[in-house]
Amino acid sequence: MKGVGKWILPALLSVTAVSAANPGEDHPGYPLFKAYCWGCHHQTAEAFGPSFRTIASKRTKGEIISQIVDPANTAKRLGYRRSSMPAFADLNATQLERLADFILSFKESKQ
Amino acid sequence: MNLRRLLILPLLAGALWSAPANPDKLFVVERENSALAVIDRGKLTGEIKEMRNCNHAVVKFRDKDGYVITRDGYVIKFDPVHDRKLKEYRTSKSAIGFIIGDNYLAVANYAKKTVEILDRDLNPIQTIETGSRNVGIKEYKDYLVFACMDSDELWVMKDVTPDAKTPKFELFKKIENAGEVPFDAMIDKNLYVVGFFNSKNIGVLNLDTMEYKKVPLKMGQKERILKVPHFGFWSISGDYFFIPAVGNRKVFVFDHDFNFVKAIETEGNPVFTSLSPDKKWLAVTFSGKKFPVVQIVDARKLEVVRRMEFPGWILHVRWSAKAPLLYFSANTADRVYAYDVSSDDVAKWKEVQEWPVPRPSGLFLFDPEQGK
Repeated sequence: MKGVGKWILPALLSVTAVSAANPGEDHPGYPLFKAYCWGCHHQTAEAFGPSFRTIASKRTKGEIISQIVDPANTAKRLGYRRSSMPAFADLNATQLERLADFILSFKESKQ
Repeated sequence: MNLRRLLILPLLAGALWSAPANPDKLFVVERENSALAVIDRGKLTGEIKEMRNCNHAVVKFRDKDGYVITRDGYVIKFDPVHDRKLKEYRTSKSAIGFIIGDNYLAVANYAKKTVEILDRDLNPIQTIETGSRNVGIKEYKDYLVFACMDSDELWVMKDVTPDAKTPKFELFKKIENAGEVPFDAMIDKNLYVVGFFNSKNIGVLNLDTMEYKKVPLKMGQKERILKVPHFGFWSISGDYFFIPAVGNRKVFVFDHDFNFVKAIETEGNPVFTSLSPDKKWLAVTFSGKKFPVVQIVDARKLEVVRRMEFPGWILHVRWSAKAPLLYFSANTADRVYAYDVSSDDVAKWKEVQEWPVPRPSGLFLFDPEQGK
């Protein structure tokens, strides 16, 4: 720590440092979600993009991976008028599997 | 040098180098914790809990009332003087934007596809069916203006009972084919400025004449977007509009007649462009790998003058209106920082205080004297 007037209040740490509940945080796909999806998608609520819960209820794993890699063509094939999603064709097969599994894990979520 | 002088000199030096006093009351959204942290005049005093899903929560104030809109569609009224939650009302399953009028709140919903009008105590008054997710909600005179993300329309609603206790809005003007996928808007006097995710232009609606024009943006190759940028009233200076480019490492600058002035090259894809109260500096935040970086732009010379890098993702910044302080919300570092920005030499800006706040995001200042 540096600077004048810095106040860390250790006593208040116990007040504020409560556990951070974040759906799916322990899943191996979570870091990929944070790196690539988090800015536009939420796990359970509609944001700029649809929620993972909504996607999981409608799409197969193959469709999800196809949408991640080639959204322009996949969206058309799935009947959408347009897609604002960028392509993530640089993700490798393991990353795509983990991410798709993470998305599908919200199918049964009760939150 | 006598003993008296020896004792006084360090005291004088200490006074000269001390951090500015912190007069602010800052509410910090704890993104993952359903809570607002409260930092009052430099002290972390506690939390307001049970604030629902705070992912992307936004806080606003009017008079002595505080309001929060949550990702899961709740509007929460709270007391920002005594730090107490008062009431909540759910307008939809997902919402992101709202405004507070004198006698109403207007909530732009994502799901359901409506704009909801509530009174100041959160009692529902009117539902406006739009058939779209709704963004960029603003007020001007008796108008309520917003953009429909899914139908590419701008709607201007007019309060037809302006003298009544509660408003009644009717559709006054609809702009169709405004641009593809509007995502946010800002307002400067009578000009409603809307940004589009998929169009290489911004839209400008003159709310006095209801004339609409598209202003082209000189965009390069669009990069992958990892966070939708935000507009804000704070990026309008006396001379310029500052517009974060979508998918380009630029901040566009326009004059007030929307003549192109400059594209300021930035290190990453910008998310927030936040102008200092004295209009001298613009703080720019980024997405993706550049989340920990903030660049400071000289808003007169229109060039980047300082780069700052933090130990966590910077999700929000806020300039104090009362003191030369700039706050940073470092989400993945679980810290909020305050920097002394009193010097005209930005190289001398330095951290003066930090607070431990779990997963912080939005920073919102309440001024009990101004009521805003």
